[in-house]
Amino acid sequence: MRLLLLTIDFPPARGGVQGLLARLAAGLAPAWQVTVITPAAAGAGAWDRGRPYRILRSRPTGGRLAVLGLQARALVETLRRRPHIIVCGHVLLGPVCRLASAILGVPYVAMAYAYEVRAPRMRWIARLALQGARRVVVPSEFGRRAVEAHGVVPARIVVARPGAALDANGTPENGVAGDDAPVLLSVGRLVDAYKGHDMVIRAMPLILARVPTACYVVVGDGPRRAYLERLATSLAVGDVVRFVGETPDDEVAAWYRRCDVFVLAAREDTAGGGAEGYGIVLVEAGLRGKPVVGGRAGGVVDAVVDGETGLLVDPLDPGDIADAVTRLLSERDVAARLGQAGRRRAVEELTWPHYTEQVARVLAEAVEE
Amino acid sequence: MCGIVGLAGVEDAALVRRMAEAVAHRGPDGEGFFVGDGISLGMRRLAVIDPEGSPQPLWNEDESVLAIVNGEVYNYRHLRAFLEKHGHHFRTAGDAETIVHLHEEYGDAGVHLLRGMFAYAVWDRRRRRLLLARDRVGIKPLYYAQAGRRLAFASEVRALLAVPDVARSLDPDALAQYLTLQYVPGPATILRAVRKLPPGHHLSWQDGRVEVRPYWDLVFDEGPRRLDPDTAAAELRALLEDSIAHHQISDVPLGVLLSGGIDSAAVTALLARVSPRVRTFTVGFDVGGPVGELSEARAVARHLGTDHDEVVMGPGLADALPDLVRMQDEPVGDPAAIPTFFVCRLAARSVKVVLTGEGGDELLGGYPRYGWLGLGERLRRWPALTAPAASLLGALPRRVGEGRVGRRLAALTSRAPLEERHLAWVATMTDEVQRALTADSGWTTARGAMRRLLPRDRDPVDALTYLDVKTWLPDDVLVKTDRMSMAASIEARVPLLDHRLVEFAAGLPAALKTRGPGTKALLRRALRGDLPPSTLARRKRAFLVPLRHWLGGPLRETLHDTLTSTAARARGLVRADAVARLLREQESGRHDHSRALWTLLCLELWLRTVLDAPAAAHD
Repeated sequence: MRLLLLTIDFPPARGGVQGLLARLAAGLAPAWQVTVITPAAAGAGAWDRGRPYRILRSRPTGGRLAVLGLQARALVETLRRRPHIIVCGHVLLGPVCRLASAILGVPYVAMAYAYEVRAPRMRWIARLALQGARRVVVPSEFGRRAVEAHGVVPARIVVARPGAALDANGTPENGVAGDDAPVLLSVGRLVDAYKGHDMVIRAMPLILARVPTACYVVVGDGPRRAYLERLATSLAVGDVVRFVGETPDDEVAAWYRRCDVFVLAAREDTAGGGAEGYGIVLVEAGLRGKPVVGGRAGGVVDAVVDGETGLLVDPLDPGDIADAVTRLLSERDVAARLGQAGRRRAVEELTWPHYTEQVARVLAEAVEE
Repeated sequence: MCGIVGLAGVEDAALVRRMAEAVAHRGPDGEGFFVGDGISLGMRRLAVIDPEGSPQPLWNEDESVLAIVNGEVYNYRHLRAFLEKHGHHFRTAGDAETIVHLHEEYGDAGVHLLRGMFAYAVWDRRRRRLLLARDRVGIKPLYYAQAGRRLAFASEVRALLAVPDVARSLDPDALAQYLTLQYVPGPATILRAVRKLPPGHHLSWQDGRVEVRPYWDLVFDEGPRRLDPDTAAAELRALLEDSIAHHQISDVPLGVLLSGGIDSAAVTALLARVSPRVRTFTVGFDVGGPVGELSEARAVARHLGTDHDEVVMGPGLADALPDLVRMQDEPVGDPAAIPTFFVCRLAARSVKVVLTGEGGDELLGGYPRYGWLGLGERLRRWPALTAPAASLLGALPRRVGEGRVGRRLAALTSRAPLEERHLAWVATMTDEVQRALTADSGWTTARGAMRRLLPRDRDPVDALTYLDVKTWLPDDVLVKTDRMSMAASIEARVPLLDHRLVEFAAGLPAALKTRGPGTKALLRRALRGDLPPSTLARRKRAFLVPLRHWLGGPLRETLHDTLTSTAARARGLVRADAVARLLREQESGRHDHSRALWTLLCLELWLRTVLDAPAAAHD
């Protein structure tokens, strides 16, 4: 059966959603004839080569017009290929999906995360995309609630928790590593404030009071980096917060291995809808046997089992963040227990094949309906 | 609330008692001392939270750590639960004890968990180390002096003057800057021997060694953000509500100092939503007919249904002035201090705590000069445009050139660097006038200091905000608020300076905060529906204290007598002929030297009432 996957976010660009959709496309490819339509990007040629599915790159590459260009291309391809189903990778692509389903009778399944369906400024377009979908796939209960708020029938919403996978050169490692400086790690783009890097930096003076040799490594880059760097300096912890920027996958993997505690203190913005839909990085850290600290907000509560695979904290309270981190840095047995449980969960429950299987079932249902 | 004093490296019960006596007005409800371990600590208490309990110094469980605290910790209930979870046992029901246990738990870093206004001293008996800390923006004061290995500190300068080691000589640089700015920018004070602990700083003393370190700074976010005005306003609103909810925690009656402006109106509106009966207080002036913001404040009070009370300042100003200058403790030539005292005294009849709107102008772009100077900074790129306007400015009649229009034009067209144009806007007197008064103009020093503080490569509005938050706010505005409320023995709280609000505001693009100079568009948006449309629509008005009227009327004699007195001439700090000329020109109406003369008057009165006073002066 033929499937068209429309997405703004796709490798070689980096990020949780990008990785997720690429894995999904690869996972579905044996059974489905997958065509991905996504904007052109630098380095895309090399990335696209040898994939088990077809990738069509639309123009222009970025900006607001990219969404239009992608949809125009999608319309053409829908007419040409007559897919059995379309996967709408982002609500902004809702218009062409609705058009295809209304005129050509091609149904679609929408992928929703959190922020984009919660943001007031995208309300109408999110509604348009979600209400016309046969099914909506969300990564967490939090995502389900955000979609329900648009009046989507609960039976059409499916929670499928994304998984984690080790890269070829990444080897799993149990327990807490290293006898050098204890490393606290965050991985993620420095774009949205809700990711909570700022609050971890605010917790650093308190963490250092208990674990004087601790350091915080921030992997990822983005427009917020300059602010976060200045923030660290302003709190006199500039020398123990290390911004390594965006690095190749094997270096990221090395940081995962090297760290002692992984943290994503994500919060829900008071206004504007900003929130973490899930937090794949938490599962990836778990897969490597690392204990995690997550913000008790958004979809993070689905990615972390509090007290089992990690600790959930109040993401707005540096004291609470510091407490959890210092506990995991100083009570090695607790850290090891949580890390092992996280690994077990990542290996047994939260795998990509499992995720793909769930989504494939949803797609089959949607086609049949 | 409260005043704290102390000596490190000295055990002297009598001296520390004399120091505490000097700040007795800050804490009429009680006192406490600790003398031992080679240190002496003292405090006077104004009881606001846990009035029956919480004697100071405060101790930890095994008496290895003790603290004296001035201020309020608004999140103390949260911290208490947090600390109890960690096994700490509290002796009191008050807020200040959290500081002792936080220190045990996190050492110096405990300060990061405090939400409030504070200056405190913690004595770690095991390490024999003293830690002083002052809140992030300097709401509560802390001064210190060093003599060899010994350290003296206090909430007010006057308490330090009780210490024989503290010399009373003036700092000429500080004096010059005072004349230029009407206050002395920290960490200096007018006295060479006395320094301010800067806001957001720690000072540690151990074995006679002193170290001063910053623990917090204001950080602006200039990255591109996906932030629309409605989202920003909703976030601001939520933070304001949260701040008000924390700032209204009190075991004694509480009110609001309401002016006609939007900041105090916002505080009142949000308090009225969570508090059944809000009391508001306003001050106006009688200058042959009332002026000031009485009617605007009344409109807000009526709209929100508060219990409103007002006082009109009339005669009696001349008699009160010397005392007020003395109570101000540092020489600060801010005429707004006078009405602040009168409204605090009015409030003190019925409440013990007042909320005020201080800080809103600094954080949310309330000062028109941010906008004008920021615009001027952009125009500098087009000299072809500004040059003709600048020459036009020179051709304007003097009265216009020195007035509001002239000031704005100068801000827009001058090619001078930002600090120079800023100084021209805020200075009490021109460089020329000051050069006639003193050998060294404070302009040179002030200009240099501003240049060092102004962040480079930043949005000019953010840069000026930073400058204000580091100098004008702690060294003028908050000195005025703290001392004048304390002079009336009530506590003033400044909910707009809650650090979470401060950090949020600094993280916003300048263009979002204002739409045109002095408009505070974002705050207005956040308060839509809560305030009368007239308040939301009103622009910030220029300074409302009728200074010129005072100096020509009720204070005319005081002004002349004080500035031309033998005592003043004998000091030789300023040239007598230049002062005489300023007085003459003011009298004839040729120039308006009101701010320069007020600054000189406050200085001379301060020298008389504080510096010339005997060491053991009682209140």
